[in-house]
Amino acid sequence: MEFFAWCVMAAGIGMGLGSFGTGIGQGLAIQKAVEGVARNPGASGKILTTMMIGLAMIESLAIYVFVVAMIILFANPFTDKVVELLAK
Amino acid sequence: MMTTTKQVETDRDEQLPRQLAIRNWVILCALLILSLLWHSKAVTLGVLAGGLTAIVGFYWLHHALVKTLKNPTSFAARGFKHSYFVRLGALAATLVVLIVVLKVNPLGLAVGLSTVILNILCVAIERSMFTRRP
Repeated sequence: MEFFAWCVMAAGIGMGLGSFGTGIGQGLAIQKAVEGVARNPGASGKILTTMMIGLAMIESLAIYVFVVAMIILFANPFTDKVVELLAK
Repeated sequence: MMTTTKQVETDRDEQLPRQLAIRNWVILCALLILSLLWHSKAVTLGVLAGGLTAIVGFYWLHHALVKTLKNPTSFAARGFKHSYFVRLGALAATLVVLIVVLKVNPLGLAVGLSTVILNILCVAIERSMFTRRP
């Protein structure tokens, strides 16, 4: 039973840490982009492209963490083994 | 000479979103072909679903950013925030359905989701290798 409790904790803590890092990363990226556009509005197109690429890259971290959390919770490869061991 | 080099770089930057959009599909096709080596429907479906999810998410982000920056009013900013949360929710719902309900292969899904990242890495490597420094 402890196995499943640890799984839930791992998914929750992982998702929390992943979201925290992603949030800070995206916030910093947007802050710098907005500062750049405010200083030089003519470069907004270039800044938009770079920011978009940066945001996609940063966001993928949260997506990976989410996928891993979902795998831990709903598609855990060790669940059958643990259930089998618990049944013994 | 300097102006010409700058002009070429600006043109390249302007073409970047279009180039990324095309290359996303090329990379997804390459990953799909590679996944066929496993002879597993779950792996191929995982790569396809992950790749489509990543590409649609990227398009959505691009569209929302372009719309907001073309019309930088407080209404547009609110629209971007709304669109951002809707996009995240849709992405999370899609991934939950794929993993929990359809039970696609998780590794295939992760590889498919890396389509855009691989694309960006390719662009970064290409630019660092072929851009001449003054």
